[in-house]
Amino acid sequence: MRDYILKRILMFIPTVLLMSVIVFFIIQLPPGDYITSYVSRMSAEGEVFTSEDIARLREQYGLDKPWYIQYFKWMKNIITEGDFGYSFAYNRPVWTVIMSRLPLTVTVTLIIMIFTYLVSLPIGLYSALHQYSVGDFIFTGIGFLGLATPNFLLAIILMFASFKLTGDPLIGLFSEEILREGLKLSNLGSFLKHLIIPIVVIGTSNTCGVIRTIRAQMLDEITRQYVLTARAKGVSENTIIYKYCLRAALNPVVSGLAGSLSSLFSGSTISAIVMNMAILGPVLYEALKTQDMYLAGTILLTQGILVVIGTLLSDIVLAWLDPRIRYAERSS
Amino acid sequence: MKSRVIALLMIAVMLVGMLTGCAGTAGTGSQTQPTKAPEPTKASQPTEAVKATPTTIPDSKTGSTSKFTEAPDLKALVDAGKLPSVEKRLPDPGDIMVEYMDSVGKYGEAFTFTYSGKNAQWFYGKITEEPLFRFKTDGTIEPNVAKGFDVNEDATVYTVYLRKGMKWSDGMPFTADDVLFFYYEMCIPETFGKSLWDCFKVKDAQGNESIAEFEKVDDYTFKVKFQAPKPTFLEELAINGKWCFAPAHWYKQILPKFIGEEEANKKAKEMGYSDAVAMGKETGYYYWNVPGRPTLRPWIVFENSPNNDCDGDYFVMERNPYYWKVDEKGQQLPYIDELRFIKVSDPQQTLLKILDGTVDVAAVAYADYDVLVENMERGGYEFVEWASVSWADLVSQLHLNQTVKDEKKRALFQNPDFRQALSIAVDREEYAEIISDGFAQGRQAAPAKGAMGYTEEWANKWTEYNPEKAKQLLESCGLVMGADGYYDFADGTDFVLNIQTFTDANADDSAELLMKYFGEVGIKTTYKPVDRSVLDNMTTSNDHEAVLAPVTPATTFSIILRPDTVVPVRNYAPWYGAVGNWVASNGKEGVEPTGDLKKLCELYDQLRAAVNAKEKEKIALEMLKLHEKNIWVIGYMEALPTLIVKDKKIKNFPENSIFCDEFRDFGIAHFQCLYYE
Repeated sequence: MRDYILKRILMFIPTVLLMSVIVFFIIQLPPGDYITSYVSRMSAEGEVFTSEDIARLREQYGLDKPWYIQYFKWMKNIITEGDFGYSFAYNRPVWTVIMSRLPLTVTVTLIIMIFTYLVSLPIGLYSALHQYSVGDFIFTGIGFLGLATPNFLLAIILMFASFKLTGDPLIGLFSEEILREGLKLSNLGSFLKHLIIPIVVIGTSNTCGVIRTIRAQMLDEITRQYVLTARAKGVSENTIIYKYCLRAALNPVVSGLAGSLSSLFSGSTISAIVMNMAILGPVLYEALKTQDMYLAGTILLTQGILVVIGTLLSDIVLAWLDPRIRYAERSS
Repeated sequence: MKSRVIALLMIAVMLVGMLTGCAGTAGTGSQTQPTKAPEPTKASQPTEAVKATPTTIPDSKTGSTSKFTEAPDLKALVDAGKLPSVEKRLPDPGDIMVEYMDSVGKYGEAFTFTYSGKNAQWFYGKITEEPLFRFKTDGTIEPNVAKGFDVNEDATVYTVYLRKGMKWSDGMPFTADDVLFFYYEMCIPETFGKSLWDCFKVKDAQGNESIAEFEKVDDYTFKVKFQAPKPTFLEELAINGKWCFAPAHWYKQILPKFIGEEEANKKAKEMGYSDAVAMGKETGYYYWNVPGRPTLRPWIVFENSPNNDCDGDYFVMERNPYYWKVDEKGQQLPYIDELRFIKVSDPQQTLLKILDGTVDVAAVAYADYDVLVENMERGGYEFVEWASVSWADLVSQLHLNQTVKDEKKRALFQNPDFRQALSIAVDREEYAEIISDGFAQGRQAAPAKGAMGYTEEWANKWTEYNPEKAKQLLESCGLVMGADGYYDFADGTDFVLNIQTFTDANADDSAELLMKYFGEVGIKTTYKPVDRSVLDNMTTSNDHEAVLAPVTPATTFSIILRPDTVVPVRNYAPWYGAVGNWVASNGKEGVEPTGDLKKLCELYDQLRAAVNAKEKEKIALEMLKLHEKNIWVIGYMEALPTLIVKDKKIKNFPENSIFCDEFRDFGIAHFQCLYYE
């Protein structure tokens, strides 16, 4: 087990390095660079740029050099100083930009994830145990509806419905009050109110997958030999379901958690833009659109690292959860 | 039996799912689809009432004899001993500026806007801007930060008078030293990343360029000297230079020249910038974003909140206690306590926030008119229309690249008969009805009524719908009808007109219509929207062909002051393509113009060397006549006025004005004079 983990960690480094090269290369692939989009945006507002101004801007940002030199400088700064570079758009160190949004991103995504699992586990269980009942069909139907409807459309509809019914479109996570005074206990109600739409929109599409997975796995488990034996021996139904079947059924769910660690970092992008949530997803999107190299590169690099770590962690959790894996390792 | 029920239930669920899916895809069309209501409740036919010449308002004055009063929260600070009294904060009563306004206001309340973060820095920059001289609605300039000026006979020496006792927002005095510091320590050494502005340069009759010389006469007077006559210096300063001053005492603490390279870099890192160069740019040019940087603006960045960031979710600008203007009763302006900006990531969210009454002033699209009218009562807002200076509606402007790389196409585009054919091939009445729901009328691309150079002939030139004549013209250009029903070049190669635009332009509808008309007269067209930055790159590298709804449409308030979109001065507008490069590089790069385009460039050189304003106007009219003759920019529909929604309770907001860069967009409304009743 220990060797296994060690080997995985060693594989880490070349994977991440390769990933960073590819990511950096692709980011700067579209024609033009950050300066092109910056100049066009400011010119539209009436600012005048002469070609010397533009050349000077390029030099200032180091964009006049080829991409591999920019990459080396960037990597060198990361490894020797831990300096991830400056974001052109925000004019701040990249890490400051990320850190200013990270707490909110993690909080919101965590809440949504918890909601997803809290809701879908019991429903999946119920669906499996009462297969083909009315309840099963209703939940499946709603789940598929949630999965099929585009998230952003649902978000827009809900915001407009909220405006029509209550006069408050619930845009963003914070009402103006919270923005002015900060999040306090008195404001918490407003914050929770604003969370309704994101949870409904993002949560419902995720729950469907989990429900169906658990349902399928449980149905698989319940028909096994050992369940029959346990029932015959007089073990209570609850023990059979929760102690034995559910544990086996959780297998794919735990594997799925690997990807969720990285999505925790950026949050869902399109829905976030539509609902005006200031999380990292829209930041990454803007950075990619305008070729804000270091910001986009750092976010993607971090996401990549988190995916790798997440995979490793979920493998470990799986091994702990499922003794069959441990025995298989030992015997081979 | 049971399986049948189950089967029916499953079919029902699937049907519901499918219907949702179909309805979903129909709804996600382009966001600004004009809502075609069966009976559009248009409040009025806007185009008749809006002119390009707004009602003139009386000038502001200098000198006041009233007793000065201030806002209640400032008074509280004075009483607590934290702020000097209002008489000490304002300039001398003899020099103070008295703003003109419709009605005298009262203090209080805040304005709320939505913004997209630091990208919108010009939005909140323009409404708080205080230049040395500013534009009036009739296009002339009036004193603002400066009290007045004198100019000698041949316009080579300007004497500018400042206001005694005027102070920066941190209480330090504002003097002519600050003006000279800005010019000599910031503009000329280019510490904020911009090459010296054109307004400080002048060309003499031989074509030699020289720069201005600033000279201090005393603390509140300075002279600007030129080697050759520069009659429109102050107008150019008002639009090109805008402000001409900087707080010397603040910059002496951060510029590398005064504290050394190393110290400057350290200071930069403290402020959060990558190095002294970035700091120079952000604090020198976009200075209104920087907390703590003294300005003369009515509102300054609120410093008492640690998260107040110009790119944050919520940005606040608060009243400047040293603001140097009063109203006729002696009340220190501005009336409004704060400006608040809420960040949004999508224009639809601005619309929602307007509907629920949060946003106080915003420009909106006619496409959203119906929704806005429906919610007027609930949101508590009303409409105001300001004239636009665009030569034609944005999505109805077609720029044919006069320097397109394909030689045959270049000859074709440069041929006025071809442009005429494209212009008369379109039924403008039908086009305008469809595209604008009847709000606007078909027209040629020409200056707005009341603007310089407007003639009715120009507005109607080549606007008749005559596909037969179009075909004759095409043939006279040397095109030959091919077997597929489309015209080809004389040597047999296919002729395809490639229309490009950028994806956010919402030009899909107009492109589709134009393609239909062009196809009917035998021109094969393709249409390709690309991302804005891609289009910019194409324009820069002269790879564009025919651009619809260009990023830089043809629009000028004054061709003398802001010629960039209708005269090739640099690489900017799509229609003149690489000629802009040629002019900007003095012939080293780009494509040399021929014929009338060359004449246009020569006239512009003459314009810059002109000795007085009358001469400039004469040359400008000649340049516009060339445009009228050639119709380089083809337009199909008039530019709609700018539609603005504003809270009903806001007073002193001009009903009639022009939305353009010279007037600083919303800036001409003089936000410091607005108040809530």
